[in-house]
Amino acid sequence: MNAGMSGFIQQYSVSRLIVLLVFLVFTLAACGGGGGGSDPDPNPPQTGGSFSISGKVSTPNYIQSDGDVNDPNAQVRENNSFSQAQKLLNPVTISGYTNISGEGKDGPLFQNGDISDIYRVSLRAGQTISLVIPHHELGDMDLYSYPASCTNTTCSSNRCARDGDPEGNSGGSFESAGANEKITISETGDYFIEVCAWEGFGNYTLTVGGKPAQNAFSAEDDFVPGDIIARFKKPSIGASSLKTSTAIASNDRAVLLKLNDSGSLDLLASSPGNIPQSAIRVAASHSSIQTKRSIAAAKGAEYLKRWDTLNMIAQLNLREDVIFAEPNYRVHASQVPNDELYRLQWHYPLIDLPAAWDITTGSSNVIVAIIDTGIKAGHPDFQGQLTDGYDFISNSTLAADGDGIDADPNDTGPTSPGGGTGHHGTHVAGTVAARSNDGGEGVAGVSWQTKIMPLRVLNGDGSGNSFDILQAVRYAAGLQNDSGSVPARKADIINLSLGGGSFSQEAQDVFTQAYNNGVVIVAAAGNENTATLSYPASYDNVISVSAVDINKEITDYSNYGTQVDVAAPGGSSTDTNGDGYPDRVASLGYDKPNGEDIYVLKAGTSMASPHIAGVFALMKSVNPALTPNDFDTLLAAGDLTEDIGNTGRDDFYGHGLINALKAVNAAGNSGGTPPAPTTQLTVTPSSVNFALTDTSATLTLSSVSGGVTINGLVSEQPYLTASPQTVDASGLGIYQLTLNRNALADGIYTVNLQVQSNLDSITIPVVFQVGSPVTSPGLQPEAGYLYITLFDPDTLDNKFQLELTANPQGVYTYSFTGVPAGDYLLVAGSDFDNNDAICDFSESCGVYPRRDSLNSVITINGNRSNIDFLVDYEIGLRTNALSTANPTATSFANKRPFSRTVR
Amino acid sequence: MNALTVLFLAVIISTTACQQGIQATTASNDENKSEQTHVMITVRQLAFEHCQANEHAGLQLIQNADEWQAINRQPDVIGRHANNPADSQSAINFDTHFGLLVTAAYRPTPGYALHLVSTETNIDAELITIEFTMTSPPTEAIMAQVLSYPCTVVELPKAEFNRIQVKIAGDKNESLSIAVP
Repeated sequence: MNAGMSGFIQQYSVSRLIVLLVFLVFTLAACGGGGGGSDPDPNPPQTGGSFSISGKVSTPNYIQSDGDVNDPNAQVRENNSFSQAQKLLNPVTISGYTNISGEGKDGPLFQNGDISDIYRVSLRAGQTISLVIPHHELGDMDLYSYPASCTNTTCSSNRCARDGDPEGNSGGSFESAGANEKITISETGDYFIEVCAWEGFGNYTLTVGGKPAQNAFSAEDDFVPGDIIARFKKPSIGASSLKTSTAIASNDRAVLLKLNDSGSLDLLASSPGNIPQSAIRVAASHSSIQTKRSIAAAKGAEYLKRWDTLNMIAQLNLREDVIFAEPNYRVHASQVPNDELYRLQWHYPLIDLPAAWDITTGSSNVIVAIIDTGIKAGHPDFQGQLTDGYDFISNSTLAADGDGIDADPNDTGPTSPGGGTGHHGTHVAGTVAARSNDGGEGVAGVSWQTKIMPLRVLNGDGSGNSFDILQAVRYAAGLQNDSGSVPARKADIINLSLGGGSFSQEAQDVFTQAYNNGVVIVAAAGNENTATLSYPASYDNVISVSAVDINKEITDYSNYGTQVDVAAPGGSSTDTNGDGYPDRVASLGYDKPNGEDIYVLKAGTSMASPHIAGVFALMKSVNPALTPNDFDTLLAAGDLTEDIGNTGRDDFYGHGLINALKAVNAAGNSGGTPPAPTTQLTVTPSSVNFALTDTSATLTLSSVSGGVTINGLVSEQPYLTASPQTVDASGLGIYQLTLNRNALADGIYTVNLQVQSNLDSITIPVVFQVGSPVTSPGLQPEAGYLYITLFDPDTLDNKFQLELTANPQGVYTYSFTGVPAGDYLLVAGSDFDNNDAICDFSESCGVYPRRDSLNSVITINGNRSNIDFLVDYEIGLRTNALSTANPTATSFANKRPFSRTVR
Repeated sequence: MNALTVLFLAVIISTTACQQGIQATTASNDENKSEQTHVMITVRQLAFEHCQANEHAGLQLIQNADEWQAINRQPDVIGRHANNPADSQSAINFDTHFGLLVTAAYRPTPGYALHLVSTETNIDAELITIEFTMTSPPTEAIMAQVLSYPCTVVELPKAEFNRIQVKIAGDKNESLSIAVP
């Protein structure tokens, strides 16, 4: 029979025929004969006979299939060159097959191979194309994009170059990481997309312009390098089938694993359950992996770590006892604090702080001493942020608090009209660790879990002397001092937003002692716009901080010169960002005449220095073992900074502008252990595709470690709404998304839905298309050549089978006749790789009534019509598909893939 | 009107003028053998802590209570905990006087302050000149490294002058002027 015709074949083996005949004879005898075939629907229950079953198998409007697969029955539509490129919808999910010549199952592509599948699609900037190779152990593939101007001649040299070099791509970024690859399109336009066979053979799924295929990861995705979120199967579910000795004590929720330097996985203490180390070892990787790893290594240590993380995830997903493994995405928990005035703190994104906050917001075990004018301790943004401090102003007149040194570090405010600092120490301390993300007013600090040790040495007019300052340094460092006491815990970091004077050997000695005692000392470079040395910033073992403006340029006031080690935002008087305020640093203050706690803008290297102190506090929270020498080494290596100005160290920016994300990563890569993860809210799926016609979808909000309260789901467009469906008291659970597309013009839409919680805010992109899907030949949705089968639900014997192709609307019409009464499993699926099994990963698959149904069995006791159901692609890596979506729905998942009958 | 009445009115008028800070004096010009009248006014420096963070030096007239309130609302303040600051009690009687906010260019640190040189100045061809000195922190002082914007407010009587010149002697020797409507 011609493979392209839409007829059907009914097949059953001789032995099964015999069984069936016996069964029929038995049932006919029991019932006195008769049989169906002409009963109107709905049919009354019958106890015997043979019946008909008919209906339609539909495909979602966003799926298509590769035109040339290894199934000999499927119609061939070659797509091996640019001129033959297969047109794609957008958004679309398309599955297919490639192989190297002589690799794979016997079939039409076996001998000559099918190393290239080329597609053509219109894409918008920012859209992604993701490739999942479910059986990566069998074959490897690469993903490429080309401009639509490519021809077989002009671009042929790049195609399937087999060198793993991403440079041949155009119009998007390319990433390769084992079983998952992804391209992000940078410019709107028409593109060719190519899937190249690198090694072996296998199915693949390509997702274009919408929800990325499950487990499609990129090394450039914003995730925590080394972190893997995984969920293991319960021993009670198929434990006997586990190939490893991996009894998982508890797996009610996912665990956080960390890839260590030796290439194995550690279970973080904060994770639930009891997973032995043996459970998290992985199999040896595919041979081609090492080649790709060497390419990744050339991009630097951090990139390699990210690549290794993705490769480990791919290996984990191959295990049968793993339900899923995925990166610990930062995008899932963008830690932007919800303080009202955070919007004016341009100086934090400037140094990549939000990304760093996804890793850590500091630790209460880290103390930063603010040696300054003291603080206004009653400021609401200091509540819970302070440790005991001290007032080291020895001159009672200057102290203006009635005595000399005392245990009260409160700032008494200015003493001369117009000449005060406006509570300078309060501002500086606020930058380091203002109470943040508390859902209310105010600003954020750099390291808001950090504790502040306020030490008063400057009077209200901002003036002080070296002796008092050195007493405070000694106190902070846990050294003997005039107070007669030392703090219960010394400071980890000292911030000195002050300067002047001249060199003092005594001062140098004290700073060296503090440094040797494990204290990192940071100081403002000074505001005189000069290369003249300012102290204490110019002492050895003190990190000198210059100030940049919102444009990352040195300010017109900042000192510069050989002593400058690093730059940070200090602010200027311009309003470059147009927020209505000068681009100064926003922090805390006190309005003495009005007696009010305020939030105020200030500028100076005084403001730059606490940014460094705060970032160092974040680093300390990730790696408490870091020494002052470690900070110096990392800084000199450029591991903490963005190299602005002249390449390498220069006199204006030192080693560059501090970059909080690089700094925190550097701290983690230096052997530290990150604190309990702050990325606690997970939203699944991470994006939603309503395709051409869908109007509803669900979103599941969950938490790995708890402590999350959902504040709301906010859509940026009124035509997309979200409402709770099944949620708990904290708001976690399932939400219904509804799309009203009626009034929208034709086109591709992307709209963001923000999931707001007490911890973080997650943006879920929602994509859909409005318009007619069938606009030109070759663009109809379809799921490939389908085999629709009736299985025995207990033995999974294939009882009846039809072969179908789709009509132009992507609908497959079927009709079984002569079906005996009984229970069946009705399944439809494709067999792209021709391994005689349908419903493999990256093959279409559907089951009546729904494939995630706990009870998929259909009872036939009369003629049945309108038995309609849906097929979609099985997307994922081996062993984890349906069980990922619903681990309890094992009735179907544990039975797939299904054998098909071969003609 | 008898002489006693005239004398009484003269005393009243001169007393009022003095209370407003205006004093007329007569000076002899020996060269021209003629007399020229100088009107001396009294300038009063007010306590003021809400200096505006201006990049450059400048002058601003304060002619009513609303303008007084405005300069007391620091432009660099982006938020207040109570969000309802008490109105600053006006230190100026705007019926007879007005204020002048004098802001010097920014300085690298705190510790800079404006001091009025003299509380008296003459109206000269409808111009008055007010002189300040700028004091600086000691050279070797260790200071907070935050930019400061030294400023002050002076109270002036409403009188017959249409321009104010301000001279600030010190590290930068600034000179400013502003028209008076």
